[in-house]
Amino acid sequence: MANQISQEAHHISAAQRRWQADQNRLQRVNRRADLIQQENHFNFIKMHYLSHFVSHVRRFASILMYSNEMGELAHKEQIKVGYRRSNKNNAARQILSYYGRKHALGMRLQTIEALLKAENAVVMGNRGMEVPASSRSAPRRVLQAHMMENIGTLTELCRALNIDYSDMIEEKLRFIRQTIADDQRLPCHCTELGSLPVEQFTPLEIPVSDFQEADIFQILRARCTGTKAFPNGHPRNNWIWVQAGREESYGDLRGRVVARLLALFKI
Amino acid sequence: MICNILSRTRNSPANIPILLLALLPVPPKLTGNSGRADEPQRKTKADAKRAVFDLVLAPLQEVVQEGTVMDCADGKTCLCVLILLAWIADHAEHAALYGIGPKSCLKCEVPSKDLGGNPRKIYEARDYTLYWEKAREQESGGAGIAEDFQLVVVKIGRNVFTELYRVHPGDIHKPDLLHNIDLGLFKHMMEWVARFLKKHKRQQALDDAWKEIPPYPGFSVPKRAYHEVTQCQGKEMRNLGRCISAVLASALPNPDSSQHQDFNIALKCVGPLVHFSLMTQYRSHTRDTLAYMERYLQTFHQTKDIFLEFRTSKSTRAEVNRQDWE
Repeated sequence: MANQISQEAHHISAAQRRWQADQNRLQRVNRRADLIQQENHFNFIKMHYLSHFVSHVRRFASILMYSNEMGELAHKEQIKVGYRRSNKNNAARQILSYYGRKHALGMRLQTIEALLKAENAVVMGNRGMEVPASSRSAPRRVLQAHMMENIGTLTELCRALNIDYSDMIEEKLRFIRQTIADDQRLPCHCTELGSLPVEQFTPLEIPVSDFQEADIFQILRARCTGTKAFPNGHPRNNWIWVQAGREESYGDLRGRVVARLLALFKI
Repeated sequence: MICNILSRTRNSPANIPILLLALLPVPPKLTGNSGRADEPQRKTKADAKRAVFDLVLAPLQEVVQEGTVMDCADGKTCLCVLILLAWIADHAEHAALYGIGPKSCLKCEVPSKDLGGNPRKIYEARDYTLYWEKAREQESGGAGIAEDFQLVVVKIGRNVFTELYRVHPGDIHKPDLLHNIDLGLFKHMMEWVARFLKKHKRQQALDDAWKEIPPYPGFSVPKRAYHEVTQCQGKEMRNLGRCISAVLASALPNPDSSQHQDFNIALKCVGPLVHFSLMTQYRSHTRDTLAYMERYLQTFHQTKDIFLEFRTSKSTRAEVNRQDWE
């Protein structure tokens, strides 16, 4: 009997101990959660700076141009690489001259590439010509015209647009003489030229290389509806820049003149 | 602007626009044993910094006052006045230059306990000219300013940009997308998200979704599972920002009733931060885009508390462990 009582007492005390331990663990967990809840916060500086971004854009425009990426890259490009390239004797002076030399050479190469591309991508080869036409000398990727409106001859086109036919022929002949002679060259005879079929177009898509990007092009549309009305009511003949002289000519416009499109056509 | 300079000028080795001016020797680190022992070295460092910046900025001061004749891109020669507009550096470097505490804003006098507070609340802007005036007054025997400076966490009255002609020191500091967003908040956010997913036992789902992102132009596919990534470059974090919203959404399918609300709030928190960061990369803005930015920021702040439990600092963890031990 006594043995049974002692066993029972032992049993109860074990249960109590377990209960007590559970209570302690619960308290500890709660205390831990409370402490974490009290101490945790989002008060760090990067969180706060976001609130200044909008006011910064209002005063100083885009944020992207002030990013630190260029400066951080300079640690590697200018200093670490410069040190590796040096012979480690009096390295500071060699590091200082390394990046300038490399940068100058790199820029020179880029400029040469850009100039070569620019020479191939002259939009208008017809110097001083009033009516810009899609010339064969221009690469296909530069001039893309579509939306065919009518097909006729050059004579009919001049009559429809009130352009003096003799002026047109004179300019056209001058242009043809400048182009390279090949099997597809246009005839140089006035009457033969006047009777050739002509396709007229309204938009001219001109890819213009993006700012400081040699490979990305934005398509600009120059529109020319001739005497016909554009959807908003009036005829629309855009003003465009024409490369009339060489780019090296040192004037304000560097060989460019402003001209108004009168017609876009292809012979 | 570099683009205004003729290429032949730009390419000339004598006129390179990006110029490495000097390599400064790095001083030995402070011992950290006691403030008094480190004081002479601290003072020497501050003096050296001041001397270097006086040297660097002196030619600019002359140009700002007198102007200089420069060839312009249009072939004409103009009298140009060059004004220091921006100093591109990270926050720690800026804090050192301005003599402001590392946990304080350089633009406004926001208390450190309110840094993560309401973004619409406006605090008084820092007036560095006033700080300098106060410091000068004190030097000439005026009232003590130590308490005033301590309140706004200013360490030195005259920073390197004070007294520069036509320069407002508060405007020199510019937002830094690389450290603030790409390597800052995105990194923090990914830690919170990882712990959030661990809590809800969804880590594997994130890794699976992460590895299945298809390639598309302008986006480089991650090569490793997310938990294997130990260090990220700014570009990688920017890439991550583009896809994290979708990846997280696909890692949290079929929530049970207890998880439903948490998952929704987590997605609502991550989405606006990603949108905000993408809009900061815009090259031009309108009133609408700025309004969007403000709205996204507000939404992020309203929902960020879902990740509060994962913002435990080392000191808090140590404190909790100590109490457990006791």
